Amino acid sequence: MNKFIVLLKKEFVQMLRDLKVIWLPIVFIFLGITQPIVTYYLPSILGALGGGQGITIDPSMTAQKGGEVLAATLGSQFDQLGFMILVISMMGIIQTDKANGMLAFILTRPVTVISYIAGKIVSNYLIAAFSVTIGYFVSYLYVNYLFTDVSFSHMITALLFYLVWVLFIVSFTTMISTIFNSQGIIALISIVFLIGCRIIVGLSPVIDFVNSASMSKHAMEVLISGSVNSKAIDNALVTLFWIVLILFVINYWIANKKVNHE
Amino acid sequence: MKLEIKNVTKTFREKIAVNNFSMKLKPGECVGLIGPNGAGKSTLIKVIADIIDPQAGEVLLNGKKISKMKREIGYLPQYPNFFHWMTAKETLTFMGQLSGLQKKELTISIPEILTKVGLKGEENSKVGTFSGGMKQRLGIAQALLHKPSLIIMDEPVSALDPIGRREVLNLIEEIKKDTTILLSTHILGDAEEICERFVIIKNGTKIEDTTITELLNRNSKNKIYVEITAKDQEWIDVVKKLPFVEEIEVIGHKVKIIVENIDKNKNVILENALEHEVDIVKFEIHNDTLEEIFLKLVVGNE
Amino acid sequence: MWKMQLHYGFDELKNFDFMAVIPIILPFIAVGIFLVLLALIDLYRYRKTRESVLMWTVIILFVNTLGPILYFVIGRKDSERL
Repeated sequence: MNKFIVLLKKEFVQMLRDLKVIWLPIVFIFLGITQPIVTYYLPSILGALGGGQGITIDPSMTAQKGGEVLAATLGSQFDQLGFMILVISMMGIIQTDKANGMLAFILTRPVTVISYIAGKIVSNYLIAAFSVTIGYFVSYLYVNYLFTDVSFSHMITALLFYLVWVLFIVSFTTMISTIFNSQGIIALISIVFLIGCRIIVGLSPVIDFVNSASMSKHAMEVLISGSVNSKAIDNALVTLFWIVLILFVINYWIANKKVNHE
Repeated sequence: MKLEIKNVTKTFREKIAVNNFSMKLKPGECVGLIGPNGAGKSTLIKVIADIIDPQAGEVLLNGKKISKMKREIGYLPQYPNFFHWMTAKETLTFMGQLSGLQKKELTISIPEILTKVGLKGEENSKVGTFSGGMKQRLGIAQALLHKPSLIIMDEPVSALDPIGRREVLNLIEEIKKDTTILLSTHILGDAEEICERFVIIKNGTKIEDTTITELLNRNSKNKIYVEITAKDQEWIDVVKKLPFVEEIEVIGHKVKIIVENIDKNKNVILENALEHEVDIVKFEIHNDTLEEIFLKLVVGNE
Repeated sequence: MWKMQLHYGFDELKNFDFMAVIPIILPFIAVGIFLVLLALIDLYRYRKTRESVLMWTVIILFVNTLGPILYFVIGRKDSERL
């Protein structure tokens, strides 16, 4: 436990020096603002381009439901550019330590592999969750200002669902970073797999049940329809199961000294 | 503490890196692990430092598995690499805390250790700006910080320039007093300077485990070198006929004489030379240098 | 958003209701500028250890919003390999 705190602290200091604690939240704030603004102004801009009779804001636009716009922030911004940036910012999470020998070095100390992995995942998840949350909140404020209000409880429920999916993204990328040695390959595999998961959501109920990306869909559903899908909790549990499995794989991989040292 | 390496074997795919290697280190001993590049030294060191698991065999420290005794090990990798964004002090605090030291102890011991390794005044410099020698010294500092009873060093001086090498060797000389040290090197001179005991490894197998004096004695082949002038060449034929002379080799004016028993025979040869009024330029008892012995062991024995 | 406006002529811009838009768009622009500044300051701080400083300056300044992000994600890595 003690060692875990030391490793966790080191990760945070590193993120602070890398300015990751500043730029990652800003990126998500940016993405969060983009969706409501684009939705709000795009039709009038398009209209101006086509008709040329000047840009006016269509009053019917404000009638669009706020929940749909906030859902689109998750689905079109965070689930696309947002998560790619997240994955790329984490591709070296364990690979860098492997490449420069720090992983082997740290493990010559009386440190358990579990506390090492936990330090990595917890720190990276906290910063990712913080960024997503703050970007989402800003988006929420914009949506409430430009469109119809979204109820606070729906907003929070959707956020919690979405954060489960973020935890899966962080854990999965960490696993890929442990197994592979090239950052390009790590980013490619993680992005392709996770986007694949996100795309197949809705194809079949069986796949949806085991697919962690369904958490993103459940979050969007809460915002759009205002009701919680009963499958959401099951899906969250399945996702947690995947995450535990991923932790086992990472632990096995490192503890069995399969890691490439030179 | 006592270190035992028992029948360690490690293979990478088809290649055998370490083959059934065993040795014991007594507490306080300093042992040099010597071998040519690619002999399996680094692999063996990594097995001992518990970085890689061997296929067979085990490493015991005071009778307990090494993975349970990590608190007692100080490890210096071949190319110590630290987080470049940390300062020297932060690095030592981080490594020290990982070894279970408290912050309070560290505030006292870190300045001490930095002075010892000659990095005083650099505690707040970023490791990224350090030269190879400074990194090596920081590496030694982190290996010593938690006062381990066994220090394992992989090629501690090979990558350094002569000045850095000197500094690090002096440092090891000093820490040798209180700890068991195992270091690997491919440069014999380094090991000769610090360690009494050598273990020579080749193709993953231990081919020699001895002390310097023993190695020298065993390999001094009862040789006498006599350098004479051109006019006394016929004396060589006289020497050849002496009963105790086993072999004679002439290189220019130098005569290499191998005898049965150097202590008994050397004076007889000298007397004989004087009798024949040989003009002696040089008369010496010749021992192979460590370098020669090492080469013979490593290159020979194929 | 403001990038899209660049494609319009001045005549169209005159018709644009700036007063209604500014309070909404301003934070958006501010965040974008802040990201650019942050990236530039960081690049300047570590200019000695970074490869291709000029290239990154251009990318940060001219690749809209994605430039600074790219810099933080990939551009900072150069020195970490040390």
